[in-house]
Amino acid sequence: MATLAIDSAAVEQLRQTWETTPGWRGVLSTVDHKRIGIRYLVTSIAFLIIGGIEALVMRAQLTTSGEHLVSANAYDQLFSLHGVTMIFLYAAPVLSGFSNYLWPLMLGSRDMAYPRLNALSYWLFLAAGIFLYTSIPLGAVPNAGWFDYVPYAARAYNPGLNIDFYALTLLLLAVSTTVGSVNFITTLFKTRAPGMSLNRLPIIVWGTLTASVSNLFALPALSAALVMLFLDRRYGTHFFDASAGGHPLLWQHLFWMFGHPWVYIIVLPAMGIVSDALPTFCRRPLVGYTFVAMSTVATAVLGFGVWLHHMFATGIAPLALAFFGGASLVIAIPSAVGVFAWIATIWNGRPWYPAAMKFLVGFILLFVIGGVSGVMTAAVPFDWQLTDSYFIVAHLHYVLVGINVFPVIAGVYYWFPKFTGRLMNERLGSWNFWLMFVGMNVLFFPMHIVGLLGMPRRVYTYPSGLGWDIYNLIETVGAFIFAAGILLFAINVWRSRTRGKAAGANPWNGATLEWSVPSPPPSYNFETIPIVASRHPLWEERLDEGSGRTVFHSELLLDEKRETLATSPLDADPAAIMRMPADSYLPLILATLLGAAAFGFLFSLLWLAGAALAASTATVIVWLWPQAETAPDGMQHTELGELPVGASGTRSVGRWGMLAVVATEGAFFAYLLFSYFYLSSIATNPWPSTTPTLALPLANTAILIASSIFAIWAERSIARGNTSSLRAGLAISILLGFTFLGLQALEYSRESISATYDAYGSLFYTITGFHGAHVFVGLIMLTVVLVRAFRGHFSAANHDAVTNATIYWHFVDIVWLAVFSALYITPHLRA
Amino acid sequence: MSGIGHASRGAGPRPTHPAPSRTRVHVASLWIALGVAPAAWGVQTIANLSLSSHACYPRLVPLDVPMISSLGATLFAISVGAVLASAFATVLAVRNWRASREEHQQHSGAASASSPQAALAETGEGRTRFMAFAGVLASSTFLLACSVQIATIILVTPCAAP
Repeated sequence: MATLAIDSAAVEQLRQTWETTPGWRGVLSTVDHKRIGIRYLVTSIAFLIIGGIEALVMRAQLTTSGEHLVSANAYDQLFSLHGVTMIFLYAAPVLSGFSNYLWPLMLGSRDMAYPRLNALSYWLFLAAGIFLYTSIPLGAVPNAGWFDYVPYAARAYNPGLNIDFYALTLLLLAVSTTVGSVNFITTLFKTRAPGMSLNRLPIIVWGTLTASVSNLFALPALSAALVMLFLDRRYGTHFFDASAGGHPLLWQHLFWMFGHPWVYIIVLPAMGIVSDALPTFCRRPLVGYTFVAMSTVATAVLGFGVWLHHMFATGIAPLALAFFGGASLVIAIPSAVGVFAWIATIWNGRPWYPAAMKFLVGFILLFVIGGVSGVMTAAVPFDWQLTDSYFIVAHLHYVLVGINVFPVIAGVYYWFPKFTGRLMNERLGSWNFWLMFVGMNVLFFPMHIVGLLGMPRRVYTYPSGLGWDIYNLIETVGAFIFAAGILLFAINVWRSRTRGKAAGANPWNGATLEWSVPSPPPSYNFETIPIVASRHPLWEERLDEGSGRTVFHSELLLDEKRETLATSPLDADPAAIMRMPADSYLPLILATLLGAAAFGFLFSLLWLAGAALAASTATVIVWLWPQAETAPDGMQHTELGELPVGASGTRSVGRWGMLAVVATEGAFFAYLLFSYFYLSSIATNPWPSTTPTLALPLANTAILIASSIFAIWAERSIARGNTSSLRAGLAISILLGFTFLGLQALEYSRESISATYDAYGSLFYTITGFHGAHVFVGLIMLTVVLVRAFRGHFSAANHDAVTNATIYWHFVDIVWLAVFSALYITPHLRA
Repeated sequence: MSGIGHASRGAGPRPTHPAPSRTRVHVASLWIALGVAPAAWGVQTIANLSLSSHACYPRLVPLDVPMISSLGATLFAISVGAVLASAFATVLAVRNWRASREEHQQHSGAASASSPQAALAETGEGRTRFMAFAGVLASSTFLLACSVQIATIILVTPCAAP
């Protein structure tokens, strides 16, 4: 590693530029990825402990037959809250914590691509958690399980606020997770250090990237289902009402289209932790890097095609079941690749076993058990025997605790020195591991047996004499042993952060870039942007590996403002010098407003919801308004050539963000249209109940296409530097957009279809209504861009906002073509 | 930019480009080899699920015999198409791989010296060959997934009313 020779004045300037203001102002406004990462970790582990306490109460209730510690209703609420807390408020956010903290350090950057979006993601997560837990004092805790099946969750059977809390919590979390995913994807493809090509990424980066892309396409299924559920419950629509053309199985399809990919979303980054930490403790590179990286991606892709295996017992045709049983068996192949790679790494390495390594090895054993029981449920006839039994509870906990909690604890032990500059206590760590490992197996393994003996899940008590008592007693003992392990972990973290041994920059002799900076890292991460030569920058000498040697102290100081390097997606070739925004209260304000909107919807205070959404829109406009600190600022000569300062066009991160938003929004409409075709294919009553008229929508289609053409003209004009044509094109596009909305309102007033008459009407108004809302958002974007055009903000070289707004506008038009074809054309074809 | 003149470089040779073979294999070819087989499997899965479900449960009425008489042949044709597309992607991936497998092989260090074949997967050096090799893995995995559906069509009775 090279010697450092950067003058102290430059370092001091970097520190002043990047450091968050001390005190409460800094707490509320920071966008530092390290602080946000730690907040994610602390908050999600707090939710792990809360969810764990809920589980302990359940286990106490089930210790022996006929217990009455809690009532049946309270037990319903406990298992629902436990599931939602663990799966949504712990398992995914904790991995975001690691990735937020580690990504820029591993990738050789100074921050995430969108620092303020990062803060928004955290504040929304916190708001969602607080929102959910306000259901306790209000006596309306969700009570239909974490997958919230209708008709249990329908208003007729569940009239309180319980399910509304569930729906609105998950919608808030969906926004949080989506903006976080957009940030991860853009960060990965645009802000790696020069030389860090795709083949040199740490595996946790592959895991989080895969999870983030999956989020963009999986979460909209959940969001669509939640919106429909909320509308059914509050406004009398019929999406899940079989008596009016809807169907409860639609919920199951949408939920598991989201739910199964989600399983991989909450385990793949955790498996990445294992793949990156294990080689350090084996003192050799991971065996089969390419296989592991690709199996991560392949598992996620296959994960989108196995959702039906959660529905084997719902009465679906045998051949359809068999397709998904087959895919569920095939997915075992990429899933198992990692296991073989980890075992081979241990086998070929020189392993040593500090607490972190113990957890890693424990994880491998638990993964194998959870994986094997998963493959068993892929066999349809066997699954029919296991569905809704405790065997499934055992399987899912081996997967979620084994593949998520164990790697997370290992990750904390491994990176704690980087977070705090201190090592965790190894003796406590060893006790911590054995208590958790023994407790985990004593708790969950007997559930396989008691499940095979016929004990159903989600029963608050059971009669004696069925042979279940002894297993339940053992499980409860295991639960408290496991809880003692978690308690010891918390004590170790608390003690070690101030009393642990000083760690130094690289206490484990790790290979990746985060170990090249001091512990804890300075606010600016790297004094200069490194130039990477291999996948193991800190092991290059030992392995004699890499196309040259990594330059840890390049001339890329980038200290004028908050600057980092933008690079190309595949090879990380330098593209521009990015200027990052400063700390800001806007993310906190926006998250608070969206939380207020959720309360408005919950209590049917539509004035509050409307005001909060209007204020949110205003906040977003202020957020996106150009700032001097991030504005383009000519060219700069660097050792890697002339680079533009303050990127625009394809060099910028804005284009990537907009494309990711369009992708996830497109998926949302795809799930809505799936719902339409699914219900139309199984409806037993007339579908459609009323055939929609064609003339007005046809005219509207022409109007929207024309508006897109004018938007193209506007964008091409500014690309040639013609500002007046830009203004004219935007103004005409906006006018046509408002005409579209006006005509749609006219059409609504003329249509005889009702949203509350049947499922067809519900879908018609929901889909066209959501599209109209997107048109409205697009019009706000175009209007803001037009105002900026009149203020002279754009030029031939700098018109990113125009391009991004027109991309969104074209997307809205393309969606309309799909909506028009599905809702207006196909009914006429059926007739 | 203050401080530039005071910064020093690391020891050892300066890094060269991570993908010197990028001009030998077109990037579109790499993406096609990576994406076609998963896409074919996705289309096959959705089409087969929709057809087999609807043919056996039209409007929530379970049937013993599919209402589409040519269901088996249709599903088989869709699946053969998916297998052929995946096979094409696999062949393309192997060609890409052959054209780029020497990329940065000399920089695989100690691993390469002891076991050149293992070094290929071990170090992943060379972005072009990494993507090409990833294409081989992805295409062959999804070729298998597509083939499993053909076996399913042959082996499983399409409908079964209770």
